[in-house]
Amino acid sequence: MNEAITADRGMRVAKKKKDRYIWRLVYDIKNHKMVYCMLLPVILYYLIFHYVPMYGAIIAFQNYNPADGILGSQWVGLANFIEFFGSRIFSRVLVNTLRISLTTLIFSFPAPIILALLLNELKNKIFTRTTQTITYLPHFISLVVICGMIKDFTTEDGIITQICALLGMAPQNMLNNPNLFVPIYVVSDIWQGIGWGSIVYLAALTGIDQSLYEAARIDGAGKFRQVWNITLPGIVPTIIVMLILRMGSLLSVGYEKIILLYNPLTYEVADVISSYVYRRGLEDFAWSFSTAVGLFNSVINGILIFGTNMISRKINNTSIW
Amino acid sequence: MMNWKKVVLSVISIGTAACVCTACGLVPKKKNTATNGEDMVISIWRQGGTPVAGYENDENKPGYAELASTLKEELGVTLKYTTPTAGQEQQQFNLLLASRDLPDIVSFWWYDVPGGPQKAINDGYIYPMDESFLKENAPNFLQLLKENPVYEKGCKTDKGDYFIFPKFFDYKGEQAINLYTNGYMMREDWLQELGLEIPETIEDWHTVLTAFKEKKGAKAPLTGTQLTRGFEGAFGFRADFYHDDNVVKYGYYEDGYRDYLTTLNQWYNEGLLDKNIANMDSKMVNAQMLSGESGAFWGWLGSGMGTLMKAAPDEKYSLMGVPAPASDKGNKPEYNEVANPVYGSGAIINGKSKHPELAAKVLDFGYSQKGHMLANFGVEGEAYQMEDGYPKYTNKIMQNEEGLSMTDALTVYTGKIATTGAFREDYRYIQQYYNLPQQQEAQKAWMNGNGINHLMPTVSYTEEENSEKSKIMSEVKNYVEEMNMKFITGVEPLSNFDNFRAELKNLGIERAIELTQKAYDRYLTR
Repeated sequence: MNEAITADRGMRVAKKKKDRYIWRLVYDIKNHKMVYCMLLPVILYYLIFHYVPMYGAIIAFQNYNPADGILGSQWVGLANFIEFFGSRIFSRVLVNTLRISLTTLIFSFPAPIILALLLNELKNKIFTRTTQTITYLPHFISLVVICGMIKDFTTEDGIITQICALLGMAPQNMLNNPNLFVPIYVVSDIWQGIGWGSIVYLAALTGIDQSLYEAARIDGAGKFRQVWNITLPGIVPTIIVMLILRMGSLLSVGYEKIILLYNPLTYEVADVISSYVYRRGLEDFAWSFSTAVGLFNSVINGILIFGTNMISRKINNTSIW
Repeated sequence: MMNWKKVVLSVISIGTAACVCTACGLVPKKKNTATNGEDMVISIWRQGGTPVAGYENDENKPGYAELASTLKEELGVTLKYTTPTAGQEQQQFNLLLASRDLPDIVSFWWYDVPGGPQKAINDGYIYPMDESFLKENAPNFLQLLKENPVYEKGCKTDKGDYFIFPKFFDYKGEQAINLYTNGYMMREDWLQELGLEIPETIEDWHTVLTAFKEKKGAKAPLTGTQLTRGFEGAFGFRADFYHDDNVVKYGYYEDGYRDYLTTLNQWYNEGLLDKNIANMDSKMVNAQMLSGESGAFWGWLGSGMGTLMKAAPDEKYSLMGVPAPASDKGNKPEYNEVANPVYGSGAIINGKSKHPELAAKVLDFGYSQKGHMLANFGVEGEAYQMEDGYPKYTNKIMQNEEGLSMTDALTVYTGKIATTGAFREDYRYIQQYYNLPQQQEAQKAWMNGNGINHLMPTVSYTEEENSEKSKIMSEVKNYVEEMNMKFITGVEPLSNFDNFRAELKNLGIERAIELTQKAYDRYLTR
């Protein structure tokens, strides 16, 4: 009896809540027509260019033929997925993708945070700004140029090879060595993105209450203590949000950089899902097949982003939604 | 106070509405007013090639103006061109197919269209033609086909329909120079200085490259972007698919491939082969050839030899084309590099075109005497002069006063319906295009061989065959590419060669050969 009453009350509360939400929305629209009108183009943009095209993903379950169109093509069910999971290359591209992605996550995700913390401690403004500008620069160089530079620097008599040779490594064309591919990829990734990535953290750092530092100093905390107990906790929400977003692209290693850097000698470690999709989809015209692989990729990414978000909400109440 | 808000509001709503309508194609497009009732309009989609500064519009090009006025006069036709953005041709072509709304004529790589040309006919993209249609509407084209069975076979499907107006190359005897535009090149001055003969066999090559390394200090005597090209002939096979007396073979599945890898691996270890071979591009190759780091390379006549000779550091510097190595001294190279006389691209008539006859007449013009001269040489008296029956380019082409390169000048002064289809490329054009004595000698050197007897023509597959073969080959190609480099650089020991063969078999290479054989047999009976 009691249970039933509670349940009933709960439902009523829920219903009331829902009513209230809709009512609130209607009320809000009535009162802020202008604001909602300005929102309209954005909503339409997402609907037309991001949601409507999604129906094209059904070609993943078809043997798509442009002449028959999306609705007329032959339905093959999961055949494209089965072909992908069963292919010789599947385990290789999946492992490579995860290896490159996780290494990037471990090394290149914290890099901008460290840079931001270091810059934050600098007192000389001119030096800080110069450093910032210099670290931003690689972000604005085209990827093709970046990869051209990497290739030049890592040839047998390239500058980076020479430096490594001074440190005791045998001089070699570094991009031909499968063991060096991931390090080259990750280090260049850090170099390219560290400055740009630190902007968001620098912004978060300005929001920390200065009086906390003052109090800490009076309590006798050193620089390191201050960073550990005030600065870092201050930017943790930002870090978590960035991490959740980053998790959403764990399975998507961009194919451009891979394709520009790999060669037959490094296929075994460098071939990732996206470069495979590129080869099959754009070079062999296997549209349905590459759509299926892309869809698989998106689903996993979706699960990862929801999962991380949920864990983070449970553990420390920080989440994107 | 409310006024500006209303203004903003209406602007946004109208803007949004307009965007939505155009995005969905709700606003009917304005009718093209250019059609004036009398003139017929034939629409053409074709690759534009590299735009020439100052001549971006077709109307400004004298060659095109001549073509347009001739067609108007003779057929009463106006051409309406659509040009895909340079660099995005393939994507835009795919979109064009997906839209199912093709112009009357489309010029592209139709032989490689997904599913093959036969499928494109079945799907209604291509208008299939029979002999009587061609007799009526494209007599010049038909005559050319009847005189050259190689051309005819290349334009037919296995069912016997004519479907494409391709770009042809001259291929008979001395005129075949169009087919030989890439191969191995070497420092001629080094050879002379060291008193070495032009290498003929693999042993000769070894001697020459070793001399380059030891006496000329070349760090990477042999380089190139596509190393394997041409060398395999000496080991009794050709890269990729080819045929020996009509038996289809796949080069990397042949026995000779093991010897080939053994030799190249040995050269690699001896330092005769460029250590960076796996990631060379043509710029790096050229730089090494100029600096003397390398003495021999595989490349193209224009971007390789032409560019290098222009940039030559001193007067002594000279390059020469050397023939692909032969198996034994005195033998002709059996599998030298050669292009197909029927180019891989061409113009088709849309299967749903309202005026297929007229479109065929337009395309036929490119093969007529007048159209042929216009496409290759431009307007007489302007772009070329007849000298003893030989069309010689004027200085407008050779040394343009506006500073146009020869390639650009040809784009401006010749008139082609499509740059990649519907005409025959004249050997006299190539003769004058590659005008350095070294380039012409190189072509003669490369021509000497039997490669053309083993060349795989453009065969066509049924829909099922096509999907089966491309599935197999997409894995095989990738695997071969990877293992080839690994064997050469020694990352993979040659003792694993048998495993490599077994894996190829496992991936279905024998089935792919069988399918190709079937398609080739059908080609022979076309």
